[in-house]
Amino acid sequence: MSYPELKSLESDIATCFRCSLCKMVPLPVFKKQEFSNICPINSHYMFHSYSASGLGYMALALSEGRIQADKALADIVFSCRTCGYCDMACNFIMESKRNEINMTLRETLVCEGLAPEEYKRTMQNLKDTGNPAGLTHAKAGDWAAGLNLKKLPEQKADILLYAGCLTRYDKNALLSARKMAKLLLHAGVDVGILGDEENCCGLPAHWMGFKDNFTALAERNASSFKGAHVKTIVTVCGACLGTLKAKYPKYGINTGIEVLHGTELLERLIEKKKIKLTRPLNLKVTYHDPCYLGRQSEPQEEWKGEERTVFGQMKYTVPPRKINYGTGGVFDPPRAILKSITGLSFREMYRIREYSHCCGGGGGRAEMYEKMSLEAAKDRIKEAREVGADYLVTSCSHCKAQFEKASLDMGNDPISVLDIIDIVFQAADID
Amino acid sequence: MLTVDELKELKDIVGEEWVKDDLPTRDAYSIYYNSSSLNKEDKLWTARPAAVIMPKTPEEISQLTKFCNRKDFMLKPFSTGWITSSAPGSRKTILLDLKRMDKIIDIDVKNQIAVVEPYVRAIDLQSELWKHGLNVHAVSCGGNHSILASTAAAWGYGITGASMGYQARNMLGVEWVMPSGEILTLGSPGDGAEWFSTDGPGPGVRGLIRGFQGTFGGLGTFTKVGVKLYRWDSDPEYEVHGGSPKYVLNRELPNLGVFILMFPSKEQITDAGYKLGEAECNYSDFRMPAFFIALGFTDNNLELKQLWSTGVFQKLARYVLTVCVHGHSKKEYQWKVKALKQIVKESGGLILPMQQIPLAAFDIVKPFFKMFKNPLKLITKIPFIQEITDMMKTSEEMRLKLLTTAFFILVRHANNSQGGFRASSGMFTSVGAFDTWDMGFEQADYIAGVKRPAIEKGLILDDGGDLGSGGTFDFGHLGYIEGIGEYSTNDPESRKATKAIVEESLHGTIERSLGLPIAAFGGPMNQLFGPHCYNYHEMIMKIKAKLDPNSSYDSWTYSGASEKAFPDEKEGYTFF
Repeated sequence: MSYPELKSLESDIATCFRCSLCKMVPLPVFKKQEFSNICPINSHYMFHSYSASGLGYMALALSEGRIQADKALADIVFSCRTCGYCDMACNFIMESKRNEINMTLRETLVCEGLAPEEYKRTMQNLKDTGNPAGLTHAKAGDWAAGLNLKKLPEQKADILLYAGCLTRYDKNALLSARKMAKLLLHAGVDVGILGDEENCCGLPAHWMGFKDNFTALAERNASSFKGAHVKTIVTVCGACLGTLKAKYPKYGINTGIEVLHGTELLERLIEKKKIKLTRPLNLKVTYHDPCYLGRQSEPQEEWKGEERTVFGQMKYTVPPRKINYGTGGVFDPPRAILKSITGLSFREMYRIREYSHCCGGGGGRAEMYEKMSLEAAKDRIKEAREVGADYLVTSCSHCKAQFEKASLDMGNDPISVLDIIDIVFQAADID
Repeated sequence: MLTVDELKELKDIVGEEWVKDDLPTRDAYSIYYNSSSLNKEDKLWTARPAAVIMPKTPEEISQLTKFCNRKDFMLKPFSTGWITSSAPGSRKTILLDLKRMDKIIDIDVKNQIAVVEPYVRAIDLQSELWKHGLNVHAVSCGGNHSILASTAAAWGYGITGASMGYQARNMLGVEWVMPSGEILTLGSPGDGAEWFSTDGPGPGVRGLIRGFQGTFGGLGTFTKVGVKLYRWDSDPEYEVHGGSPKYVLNRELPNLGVFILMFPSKEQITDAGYKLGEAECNYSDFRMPAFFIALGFTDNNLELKQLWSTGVFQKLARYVLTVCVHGHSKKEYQWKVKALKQIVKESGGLILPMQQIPLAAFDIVKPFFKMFKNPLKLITKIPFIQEITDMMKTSEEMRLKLLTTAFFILVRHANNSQGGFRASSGMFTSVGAFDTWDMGFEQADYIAGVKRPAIEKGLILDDGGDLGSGGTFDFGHLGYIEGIGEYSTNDPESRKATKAIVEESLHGTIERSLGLPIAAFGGPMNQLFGPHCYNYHEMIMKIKAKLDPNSSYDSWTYSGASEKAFPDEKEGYTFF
């Protein structure tokens, strides 16, 4: 069996020299052994096969015909949470394609019919109901009931507020989305929603390796976005931001519309004093950088140029190809917001920004790998506790749900998990 | 292939989830750093292990060892596992991945001793030690290597060797699962005392289990090691700003300074190295070859191409020693810096201002450097040149940038791999013996000559030839410079050329009496070097035969291919 997509990545795989830096924080920012490992699957399963390096070697083995595409391989490959840290870690040393290798490997296995049944069901749900869980108890626009938001494209607005499917169906998350809408209306922002026409961003399909389903959804969404004639799309959920801003262009889908996360817009509005954070909040908080709001939202710039060789064996590109270090994600706005709240004590964890630790909730159907994925979240909660935080703040509905689940599971040492919108809403003292 | 019953037996020992025999996992353990050096076809793949096991305790390893004494399989333990010496030498090898054994068991602050398990990485331990005003020697591959491995099992040369010595000498007791399966604690802890000596009281066979290069997992498994610590009288931690790939220190650390010393000639750099050692100035040092310096100044290979093409570095930076000076008090630090400056002056060197120089500046000075064969020789003759140089200042951020790069190399071992792999994806090593400081430069010159034909054919990277990297040890009593080169992991011709260079250089090492190189381990290498070095290879074979009569441990990296290995696996290996 030949796998041309994997074949084209063989030379990149061969550059991996098994340093294992894909499993741990970059050495220059290392603080503490206990909070130094990052790869969620490697921290849990431990074997090298559960790491970007190991996944790469197995991809090479498959491409060269040393191993077959089978369940043993699929069990390992689909456990990856696709947090993308390995890509950033390897780029710290040299230009690499670790995340692309991981994604191509899982897409290959999907094509071979090796995706778990649960994944296939999720894809069917997406097709039937527009959300991965197949929820039908509410319509997509119900979360905004009574807010009097403009309905796009029938009405016109500058900004499209995109709730995302987890946000609009989760009873806690939708409250955050409602607060976000109220904050924007309070600040006089010209905002609208797609209402019942809003669809899933497609990230679950991307996570699970269903490339065709993802691109189909993305194209459909892009068409809706363009039809709404807005200047900016603002996402409530961090995961949606990364999908719209980075993954759509990666798969050749460009809307030409600015995409912002809610925290980016809120920061601007606070700075312009359109939102005033007047109410002191005596909270000890730390902030968790979601993977898809952080490192994974850095778009991969399309590069057109020439690869040349000099000094015998040194490759270089003209113009230089931009390497994704993950540093171009949304990191500062949430911090700036939190630090601007009177009385709030902000503490940084050890694994932050481009080297943030994954909550374990991404990658698709985390419940299938429950022990591992919850372990990742619990590890993060322990870290929040370690730095003296009483509140773990995040800005992604997936992360929030995952932390809430893990916190409950931790028994006598839970932590309060908050969406940053809830804090801003409280500090802004809006009814 | 393991039978169902054999697999069950292994799973009963360590637990089902810690034994893997599926093909994908076994292939994930069949490639290592430079593993193409292990087969004639220059393929990346090593032998596929029979299984991979992750034990948690010495008792489990003991039982696994006893299993291999009874069966036609062998064990091969490794800790972080990124060098080819971790690779299985046979399809009958069961790999012991010791990642689950990651505890810092004790830090004895008063006596400056730590006891650690195999998967404690240098940076894990160092980060804890700094809180107690202590530090540990790390080997030059980086802070992600295993302290136990470098202390008890493999090599042990690192950048902090200037003040902390060769790591094998820092071993203060070791717990050992012998090839028989018996668990033996060597040195003082073996007699119920604290971990303060490997040689006794209690059984002491340091030479037998450690020797010079180590046993590389070929003679049992080391499960704990005591390691000597050194003082650290600076901040317990530091903060950085910026992001990947260049994190920058927020500020300088107290009692600590890094200096880039440039010399016009080999004689001058070696003289200075000896004098600096005599004055005990250097906490750590690194002879930085010109190509690596140019690489450190740039963010991508296009910039590197432009910078290296100016020819400035080839002329100006042939003999550069980067030095970290650390004082146990402010006064001592000041004295050491004063001494360092005096020594550099007396040796006719120049201390480069700690400023990241804008790349455009190199284009401006290029014509001047083209005019002279050794411009640094002229520059250092200018009256008050050091004083003039000291006055050169740009911004604080530019100063911190260069200082950080040097700090991460010399103290934190945090960016070593950036230098080795960005340019061409592969790095090889060959000659490099632990000997005198000036012998190191002879080795570097020699390997530069061996590399030259391949460089001219474009088969390996043209790094100027001399990529000799290393430093002084034991305050100048010893030195180590490794003959490095860069090649492409993707180009079969490049890999072949590399292998040929390594082989030629190993033979040349003998002809020129250049010492026992880093590659001198494992059967064929021992056979090559042993006759020139007290027939040590015969002793190793005897030790192996006596202690491991049933070949329970895969010994390709120690005494040679194991008895149990398949015939096709018994052919010679080279290593780079």
